[in-house]
Amino acid sequence: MRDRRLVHRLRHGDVEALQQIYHRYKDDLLTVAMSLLGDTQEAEDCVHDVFVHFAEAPADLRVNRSLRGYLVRCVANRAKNARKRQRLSPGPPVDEPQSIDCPVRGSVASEESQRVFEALAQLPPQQREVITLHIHGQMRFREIAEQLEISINTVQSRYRYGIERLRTLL
Amino acid sequence: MKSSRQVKRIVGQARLVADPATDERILSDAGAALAKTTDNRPQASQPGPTIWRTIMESKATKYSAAATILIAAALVLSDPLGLFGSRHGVVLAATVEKMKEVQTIMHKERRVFYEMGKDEPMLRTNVVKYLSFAHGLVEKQYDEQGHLMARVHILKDPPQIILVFDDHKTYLKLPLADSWTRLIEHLTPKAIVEQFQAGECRDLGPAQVDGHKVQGFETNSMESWPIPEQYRFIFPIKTLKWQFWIAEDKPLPVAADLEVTTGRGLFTSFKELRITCHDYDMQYDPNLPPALFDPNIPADYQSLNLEAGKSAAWLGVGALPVAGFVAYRRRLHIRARSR
Repeated sequence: MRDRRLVHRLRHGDVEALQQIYHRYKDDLLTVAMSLLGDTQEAEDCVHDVFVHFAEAPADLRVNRSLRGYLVRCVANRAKNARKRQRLSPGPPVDEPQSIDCPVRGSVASEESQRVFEALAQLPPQQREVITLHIHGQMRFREIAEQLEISINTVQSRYRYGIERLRTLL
Repeated sequence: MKSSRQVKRIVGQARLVADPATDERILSDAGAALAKTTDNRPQASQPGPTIWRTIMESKATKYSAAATILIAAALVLSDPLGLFGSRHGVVLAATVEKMKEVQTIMHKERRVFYEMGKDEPMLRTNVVKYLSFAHGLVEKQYDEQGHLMARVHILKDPPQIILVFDDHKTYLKLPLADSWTRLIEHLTPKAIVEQFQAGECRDLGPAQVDGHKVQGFETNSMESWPIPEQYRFIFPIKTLKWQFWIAEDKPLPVAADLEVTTGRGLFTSFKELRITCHDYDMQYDPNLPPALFDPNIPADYQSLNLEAGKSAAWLGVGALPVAGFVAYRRRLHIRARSR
């Protein structure tokens, strides 16, 4: 069933539509959240909050292009807010490399995936964000620039520097 | 050191997979949020008030749900483009503009009821519909011999729906309260676009209908069927196919075809049915005198006072099956009398 129809059904309070949307995109969104936050529990909470909000306000949904893109942007925004909260609260700064606790929590990542998430966690958040949105979020540089309200050149340079750094880490 | 391309591929292959416990937690919370939203704030589940919600919001108006099919038909005929949005080019875009100017519509319809699996129809009816954005909508249903079976009046002033079963000399009046204004709002192209935008449609390409060069469009979208799911058991639609034919020179719809298959339900006489409707002889901006919209109920007609539950069952399914049901009962009655 197409996304637009699922959204239409969701607006009518159809729980099955919500479930279908969730199962269609959950892993993609978890991966994006994990790449951005570097913590499985936070990634799960982020996706949890996105879906609860998604279900709370179906009337506010304005899915003009792609539902996947819409959800990825929601996850990215929420992850950014979570990082801001972390920065304000006492504790280790987010910019520093973080430990990955994938095996401990429920959601699972392969060994290779864990290595990637660890490498991503070592990147500056701006580079990590662009790389995640481009590779996992499947967003174009132009869309990322619009989303982050920065120039496309900045997006491309962050991406390039980030990839260069990852070449040494992976 | 790996190349940038290899790095991109490796990063792209990284996955975090949700386990069942995570699924359950997220889905149960999101499901609860959805239920809470739709229970406490029904209007929030739609960007704006929908036809159905408008009708269902009060005890009085929910009994007038019979109007939904007619309204939907009116919507479709007054702007078939809503079905298709702006994806289908010049013809539809031009028709949208043209339809905005239309104030009245009159057309005929042939409805044929088949029992599933049988070639011979069980009932044929002829319908004439009159739509005036100033006065409302009137539908007159005739049997094959041309006898008037039933009429449906959806009136703007005073706002009410009146079902008149001339065959049985009975009628039913249902107030629309102040909802009519909002219903009228749904007769705008914008609302129709919203109503049907979730549907999918197919361009049937050019054709020739009633001497007109036309372009055809088809949808199978169940979203375009106005009866909500909780009432569909009464008239359970299985499949739906709507086709519209738009004259390229006008550019306005000159014909429409609707084919519905149903499961067994109260208003299908617990039979599986196939119903076909062919709309034709469409006239735009004909002179429709106000008297046409006057139900003019004879004094000897008896008012129906159905209790709430029965009303909902009777009316929740729409005028089309009501007519079919009445006609079917009438045939049985005539057959019994002739024995």
